This record gives sequence, structure tokens and C-alpha cells, in this order.
Amino acid sequence: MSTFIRGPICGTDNCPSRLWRIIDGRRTCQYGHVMEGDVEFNDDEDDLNGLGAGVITRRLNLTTNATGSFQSSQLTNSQLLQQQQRQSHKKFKKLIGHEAKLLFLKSFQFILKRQIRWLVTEMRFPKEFEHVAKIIWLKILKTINDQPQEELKLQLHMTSTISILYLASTHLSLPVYTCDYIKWICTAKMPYFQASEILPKSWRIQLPNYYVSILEGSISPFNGQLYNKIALTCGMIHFKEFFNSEISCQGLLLKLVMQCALPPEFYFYTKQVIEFEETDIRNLTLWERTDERHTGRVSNHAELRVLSYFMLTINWMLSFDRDRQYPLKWILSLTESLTQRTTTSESIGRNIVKVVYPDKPTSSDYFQWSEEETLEFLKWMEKQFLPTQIKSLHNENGSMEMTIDQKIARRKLYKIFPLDREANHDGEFNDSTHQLTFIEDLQERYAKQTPFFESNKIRDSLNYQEANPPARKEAIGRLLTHIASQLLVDFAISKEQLKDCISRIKNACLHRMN
Amino acid sequence: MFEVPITLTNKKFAQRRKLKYQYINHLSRRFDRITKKINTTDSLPTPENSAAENNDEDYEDDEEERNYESDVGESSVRQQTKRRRERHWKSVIGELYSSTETESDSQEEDVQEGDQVEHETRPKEEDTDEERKFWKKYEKPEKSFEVWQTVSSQNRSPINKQIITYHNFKKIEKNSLRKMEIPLLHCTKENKLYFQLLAKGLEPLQSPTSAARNYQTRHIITLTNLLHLNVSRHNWPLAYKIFATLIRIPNVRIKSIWGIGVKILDNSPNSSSSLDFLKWMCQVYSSKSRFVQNVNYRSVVPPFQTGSRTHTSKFAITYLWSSLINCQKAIESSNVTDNQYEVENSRLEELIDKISEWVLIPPFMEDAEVYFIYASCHLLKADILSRQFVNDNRNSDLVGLNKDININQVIKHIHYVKVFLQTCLEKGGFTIPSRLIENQLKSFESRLYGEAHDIREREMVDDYGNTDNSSADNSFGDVYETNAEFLDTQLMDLPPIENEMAENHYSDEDSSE
Repeated sequence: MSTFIRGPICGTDNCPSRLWRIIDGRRTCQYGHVMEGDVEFNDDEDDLNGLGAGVITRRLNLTTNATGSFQSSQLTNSQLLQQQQRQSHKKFKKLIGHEAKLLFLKSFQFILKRQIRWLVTEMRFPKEFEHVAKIIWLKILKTINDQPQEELKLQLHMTSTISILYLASTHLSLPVYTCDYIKWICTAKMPYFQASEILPKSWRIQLPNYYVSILEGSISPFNGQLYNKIALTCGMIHFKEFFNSEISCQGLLLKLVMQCALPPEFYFYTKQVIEFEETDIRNLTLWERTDERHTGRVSNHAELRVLSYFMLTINWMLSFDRDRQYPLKWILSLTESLTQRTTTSESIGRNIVKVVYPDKPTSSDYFQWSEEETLEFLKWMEKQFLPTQIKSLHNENGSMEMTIDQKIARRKLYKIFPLDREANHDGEFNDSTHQLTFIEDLQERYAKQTPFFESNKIRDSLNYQEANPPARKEAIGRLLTHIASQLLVDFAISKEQLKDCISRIKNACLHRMN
Repeated sequence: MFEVPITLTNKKFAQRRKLKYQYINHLSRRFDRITKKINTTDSLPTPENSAAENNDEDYEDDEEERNYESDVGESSVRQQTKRRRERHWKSVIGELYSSTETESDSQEEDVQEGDQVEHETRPKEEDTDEERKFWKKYEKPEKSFEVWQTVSSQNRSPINKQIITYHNFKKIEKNSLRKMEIPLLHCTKENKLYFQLLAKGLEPLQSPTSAARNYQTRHIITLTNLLHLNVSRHNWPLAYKIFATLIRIPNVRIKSIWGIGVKILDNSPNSSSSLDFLKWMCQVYSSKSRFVQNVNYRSVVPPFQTGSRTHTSKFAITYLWSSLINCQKAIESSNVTDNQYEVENSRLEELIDKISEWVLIPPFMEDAEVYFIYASCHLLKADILSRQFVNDNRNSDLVGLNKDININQVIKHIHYVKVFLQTCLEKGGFTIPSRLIENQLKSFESRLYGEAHDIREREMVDDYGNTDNSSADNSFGDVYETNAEFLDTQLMDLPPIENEMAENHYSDEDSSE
């Protein structure tokens, strides 16, 4: 007769007993109710040789787990195996072959729909946007459908969703560019990463793991992947024939000029250069790529051409200016203002994009983050990033199955480390330091520049000769590197690609000039 | 930059590890063989021995085994040869052969090793085992480390006389490298380079996570680096926030960053105490498996992060140490008459109860350090109880039967201290300042019988010769208040001096005392 052990409430006929003991190997409560379905197996191989030497006693370690029910500390192997088998039976519902592909297309469409809904509601895209995107998606489906059944290739990736959206916004001439899409997905505002989590549960269980991993969109686009995908999608559906493929170049230029806080003249300079080379600014259209194997030249992509023109214009304007209109000091202060760390939502967004950018050199600059920046980053983590992550913990039949015990343990852990410990403190903190909006920040940056130009006018005639060519050249070079490093991350291209594109455009321009 | 608390499962890393352990195992096998040969030449040549020497390459393991058991009776040798013959047949016929005998454990192991000899024919079965086989050789993870005897004169041990010549070393290396050529053929270029680097004893600069591109992984890396950065800047509120965020991301293994968490909790006011956290760790990760089997932990040296049946987890030991220190601090600060005192005292009782339960189960049962903590608990208890006498002598409140009971209690605890220190010494692997503790125990005992008794004892100690001058003088001085304090600080100072296995966090705590 063993002693009583505390356990769960018995509950048979409202029996209030919490005390249990083992009679004949069965758990029996204080008032004699036998616990149902509680059978212990002893299928460890009994050591028969050992019996001769002496009596082996075996102690049963009875412990209660987090829920208070019994947990035999040594779940025997067969019991574990049974559990696993049961689970694997449940899981074995994955579709294969053609059905799986259909389900994948359905899931893909589902995610696309969510993305469009977000753009329309949050970013105030016009209502027509949805229709255009739908038409493009239908065209893609048609090309997929035209393929022979046996060698059906879907060629869809999470970047395909972005390219569909991009094409739709281009058709409508919306001032939205790849950099915006990249920012939205990296800051987890638009569903993209871990998008498989928003699918209905039944779909996700049935979808083969291979497709699920595609829908997770694990790596953010880099090295011009997004451009390649856009070009390929264009080629796939012959975008030019049916749609307006001219990108809204003016908007992009304005964006670039404002981002670098350059004087407004640069907008017109760049525009002139573009018109000189391309004869008309309307000629900048999306490139249709038909060759699946080779990505082709980067300078084929319209947006990258605009970037290159922009960089070239800055370089030429400042180099040939010879300190007349744009003094050296101004260049230096501009460079400094570009590197200055601020906590506007813009710069926080860029920080996040930089952190996740897969190419290493840019991504370790959080060593220079100020405390505010880190705080903002953590706030973003808490508000935007964690919700997308935690979803997978909450649904029970997901791929990562958690027992109730694990859940309780996790909840206890979170109680030890509450996130909103300093919620009140934070609130005060925020009130005192008002966060700069983008416009305020921009105004401030332009305001900082004005003294240089004013003083310049006075000095202009006096010390015109003071120009220091090598120092100036170096300063321009540094400014350009800074602008370029920002552009690289924003548009997810590699340094080599941008360099290549610029040199090609430069050669073309020089060629035309001669 | 810093170790990232996630497990990276990747084909690339799996292959790397496989290569690494394959190479190490092969090297060590070769080395064993050579050293064994040197050993066995001392013994008389028997027919079995010479037969073993004539064996061809494939029976290397067998030969090893034979040498092991060469001094066991002749019958076992005969069994060995029988087994060997069997295995030979097995290798000839291949899978068709099935042994009808019921195989004992040792024989099963033999078969495994036999498989591995034929690894060119059946690579799959053998490959899965490489890492496990490496860990199987060591009972505790720390045993797999190379031990460098440092300058301290206490740890000096005789030089290992077994040396191999450079020629032999080269031979072993060449042989193993040749063995590795085949698996290297199927590797990626990167992994091949990686292996060659490792084989030459170099360390690749690039850590496995530095090239990670995954969106989630990048965020985890960022947070980890920020965490380390802010901890090193002593920016605790921020570090706390980062830690709290980090542990909420799925896939993050708290087992590899709990130390930082404890430190952060210690340093941030108005938060839950680090003891709660350590308790949680102990509850959730009380693994009872033997660590060899945990091969599915992929990245860093896994066994140090959890406990197993053969070694105590670090967080469990940290938990014990820090709760002991907490008790001591609290008792030190509170007065005997206080209510608080009672609470703390009961907490110490609880701790003693807990350890007494713990030492009944496997990993703690064999751990000398746990026994030392157990003894320290009783030491503290004895100190507290005996101090009552010092205070009460002035009040002359404690008389008669009451006094006897209390004296008995103190003596009981002193007895426990001695018993557990003895077990601690028996378990080995943990050096303790036994003389110092004995002195302290004596001083406790002397408190029970007042001052007159003391003087005699002091003389006695002096006769022994001044082993520990300062402590002897102090502990038998006439001012009891300072005396008590001194004793406790002594108690606190014990772990960092003696504790070889101590980790940084509690030695830090102790030095701050």
C-alpha cells in the first residue's frame, strides 16, 4: 500500500478528492474511484541475469505536470511510439501531384488577395487597383494553363506577388516603386514573410512542405532578384501589348531628390539628361524578359536607369560646378546630414530593411545605433514582427505542435519576462520627445542648407579662386558613395549591378554627345 | 558575431559535422592502436597476441579489443576468436548472414564497430553514428576537452610519458587523410575547404550564422548582437527589453542564453527575481536522457546547455548557489527578533529540503558540487543556530532543557556538514577547503560552551601549528559580532577559490560580496 500523492481532482460522481494512491497498479482516489485509462506498461526488458545476483527494485517516479495531472516520469518507449504514430497518422493528409499544385495556386491567390486588401485599405490605393491586379493574375494563370499537363511549371515565388502588384501599380501610373514594396514587406506591414501563416488551417495542413516553404518567403529579395522577376513576369504575359508599361519616372525622381535633400534644380537637371538620352521621358518602359536562363543586363530595367541617371547628374553637376554655386562646405554638410541618425519612421524603416538585407556589409550597422533607434526598433519588433511570429505558436494543429504543458511553461516564462513592464514609463518618454514626421525632418534638412547658399552669393565674387580641386573631388566621391549605399539597400540591388548600370549609361550618354 | 541562440539545421552543416567526426574518430582509433601496441610489447608474447599482429587491416577494432582483454581469462580469448571468425564470415557473405545467438550488449557493440570497418560498402549505416560514437567515449561533455595544466602547483600532475614520434604522427595523419578522400569526393567545394582548414588546425573566421540570409534569422542575429552590446554597455533596461523580445520569437533556444537573462534580472530593479527564472529553467529542462543520445542538437556543443543523466545542468547548479547566497544575505541583514528572520530561516529550510530530495535522483546524486552546496547549507544553518547562544548569553534566556535541545540541533547540523563533505570528497572531481571548514565548525562548537572553553581550544589550535593563521586568530577572537560576519564571508568565498568547474556568473556574484 503506497502513500497518497496529490494529483488532479477525481471528479467521478462529483468526488472532490485530490489524493491518489496506487492499488494493484491502478491509481485510486481517496474514496476508492479508479482512474480511467491510466494503465502503466512495463515493457522494458527485464534483466533476467540480474535477478540471480539480487533483487532489483524499481521506483516509479510519479510527478504532476503543469496542469496538475499525473505524468509518469518515464513514459515508456512503446507509449511514446504510439503517440508519435497517432500524430503522424493525423498529419498524413498532404496532397501530392496535380492537386497539390492547385491548392498552391489557391493559397497563392489568397495571399495576393490579402496583400491587395492591405494596399487598398491602408495605403489608400484606388479601387481599380484590385481589378487590374486580378486581370494580371488571370493572365498568369492562363499561361500556366496553356502549358502541357505533364511538365507543368508554376514558376511562382513570393516575389511574384510583388511583381504582380508592381505591374498593376505601373499600369495605373501610381507613384509606387520597388523600394516602397521592399520597405513594406521588410517592415512586416504587408503580408509577405511567414505568409503561409495567414492561410486557412486546413489548407496549410494539406499543402506539401515544399510549397509551404515557398510561401514563407524566407529571404528578402536582393541582388536585383525582384527586377528579374518583374521582367520575367512581364515577358510571361506580354505586358506591353495589353497594358501601360511606362513607369512614372517623375515621381521616382522627386522621391530621390527629396530623400537626399538636394536642391530642387537637380530634379530638372536629371530630367533633362534623361530626355537628352532617351529622347522622351515616356520612353522609359518596363523590360520584357523572355529568356528564362539569362538575366540579361541590369541596365535594361527602367527604374535602375533612372537611378543611374540621377547619380550621373549629381556627379557631373557638382564636378563641373567648380565651387561656383555649390560650395565644398555644402557638400560636406550634406554628406553629414545623410549619415545623421534620426528616429523618423522613414529612417527606422530603413534600419529594418538594412538589418534583414541579405548582403552582409550593410547589415551590421546596428553597432552604431543610438538608444532611441534601438528602442524604436524594439517597439517595431513588438508591434509588427512578433504578431506574425507568434501566430504559429497559437494554432494547435500547425507544424510545430505544442503540448499543453509546453504552452503553460511558455506562459510562465512570459510572466517572468513581461514585455510591457515599462509601458507607463515609455508613454511619458514618448510624450516628451515628439517624433519627427518625414516632412518636418525634410524641412529641417533644407533649412540647414540655406546659410551656405546665402553666404555663397555674397562671397561669390570675392573668393572664387579658393576652390580646392582634390578635396572637392574627394567630397563628391564620398557624397555619391553615401547616396549609392542608401539606394542599394532601398532597391535591393548589389553594388556591382549599380556600378555596371551607371557605367553603361555613362558610355551611352558620352557616345551620344560626341 | 556572437553565438546565436537558434539551431541551424542545414545540409551543409550536417555534412561538415559528419566529416569532422569521421576524421576525429579515425585519427583517435589509429592513435589508440599505436599506443596500445607499445603497451602490449611489455607483456609476454602469446599465440593469441602474435595472431593478432598477423591480422589484416580490417580487424583493427578486434585487435584493439583483444589487447584490452588480454589479461582476462583464456576462455574469453577463445570467445573472441570465435566471434572474430563469425564476423569474418559475415563480411564475406554480407547481409544474408544472421546470427542465431542471442547477442549480449558487448557483442552488439562489436557488430556496430564491425559495420564501421566496412564503411565503404555500407556507408549509410555507419555515417549516422559518427558523432554519436565520438560522444560515447566520454561520460561527461567536459571530458572531451583537452586539459591544459596551468601553473598552479596544486594541480600539477606527472607528465604523460606516452609519446609518439613525429614519424608515427605523420603516418597516422596521412592514413586518416587518405581515408577521408572518398567522403570528400562527394562534398561541396566549400565544405572541402572547410575540412582541410580544420584538419590543419586552423579555425575558419566565418561563423555559420554570419552568412545567414533568412528574414527571421537575420532578426534573431540582430537582436542577439544588440543584447550582447547593451549588456556590455550596462544598459540594463534596454537589455531587458531586448531579451524579452528575443525569447518570444519561436525557435529561439533559451537554453543557450539563460545566463544573460539571469544577469539582466539581477541588475534590473522591480522585476521578477532571477531565482524564479532559474527555477523555471530547472522545471522545464530537467532532462534525464544521457547526453550522448542528444545528437539532434545541431550547432554548438550541446551537452553544456542541458543536463543529462550523467551531468548536472549548469542552470540547476547556479540555481542552488544563488538561492543559498540569497538566504545568507537575507539572514545577514535581518535581526534575530525580526519577523523577516523567520521567513528567511524557513526559506533556508526549504532549500535544504529541496536539495535533500534532489540528491536522490541521478544527475545530482553523483555530483560532488551539489553535495558541497548541501554541506554549505548546513554550515550556514549551524552558524545561525550557534549564534543564538552568543546573543543569548548576555540575556541569559536560554537555560536548561531548551539549551540542550538547541545544542543538540547545532551538533546535528555540524554532523551533517561533515557527512556531506565526506560524500563530496568521495565523489571526487571537486576540491574543497576541508581544513578551513573544520576550523569553522570548531568555532561554532566553541560558541555553545562559552568563552572559557574557547581559550583552551585556541591553545590547542596553536599547538597544531599555524596552518591558517588569520582565520584561526579571527575566529577565536573575543568579539563575536565581527567573528560571525567573518565566518559568513568565509563561507561565501569558498566557491570561487576552490571551484574548478564554476562558471563565471556565480564567481562574479561571489566576488561582489
